[in-house]
Amino acid sequence: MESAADITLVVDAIAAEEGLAAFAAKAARTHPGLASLTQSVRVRGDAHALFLRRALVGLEAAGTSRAESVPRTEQAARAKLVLLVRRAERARLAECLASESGALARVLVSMSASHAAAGSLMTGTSAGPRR
Amino acid sequence: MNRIEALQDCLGAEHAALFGYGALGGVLAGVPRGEPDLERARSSYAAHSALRDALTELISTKGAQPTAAAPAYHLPFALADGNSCRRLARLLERRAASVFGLAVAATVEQDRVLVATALMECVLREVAWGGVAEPFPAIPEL
Repeated sequence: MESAADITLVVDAIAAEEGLAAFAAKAARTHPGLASLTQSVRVRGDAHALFLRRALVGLEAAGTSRAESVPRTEQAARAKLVLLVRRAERARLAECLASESGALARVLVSMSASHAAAGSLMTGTSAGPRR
Repeated sequence: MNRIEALQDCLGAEHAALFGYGALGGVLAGVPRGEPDLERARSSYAAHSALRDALTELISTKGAQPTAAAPAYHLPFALADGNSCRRLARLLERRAASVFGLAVAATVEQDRVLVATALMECVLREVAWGGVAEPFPAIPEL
């Protein structure tokens, strides 16, 4: 990765993915009933952040992230989780389109698609058959 | 891989996907109208058909000859029932998404918008056919 703009973009993406994972972990502690949902979000967010951090090794330290507050009710927490996943989907896609590096664009669109798929499963919009 | 080659690969993937959906549509044709698998196969076929047409037009406007479909494609396994049809549909979407992923890396601006959007739709269709949400879809090596 040679472009300063791409490095900034990756730093932002790391913070966002870590923030999403941190929110999922916090939501799981507050609302154990959401454990299965939050677990998959946390795993994806951690995997994305780890991959991006490795891409930055030797270039610049990524910033830190902070988890958003978790709503008191399980229903509201679930809704916020879906909202944050949808937000991550849109942000990674926008970063993909803005990326100067083709290789980085490929990874970012994959991350966006991953969030899109998760969002559709969380909201039941995929209506997929059971295997 | 240059931009035109990447778009040609995408068109090739769409030809293959359409052949596959045609084959599984033949198996599903016997199920009652309104059955989710049949409706999903129809909408998937229509989406891939529209994408094939868009890619054909895009490649033509860039002065290249769009890749033609092969007369037939090898199906990786026999289609005997709904389960094998769903499995094939997931495979078709996964393969197409991988090709679009490579094209995302090789394109810029509006071309990248087209292939990135197509990739997202493939991944969503794979999930709709019973696939799982993986951390890095469309990148087989991750």
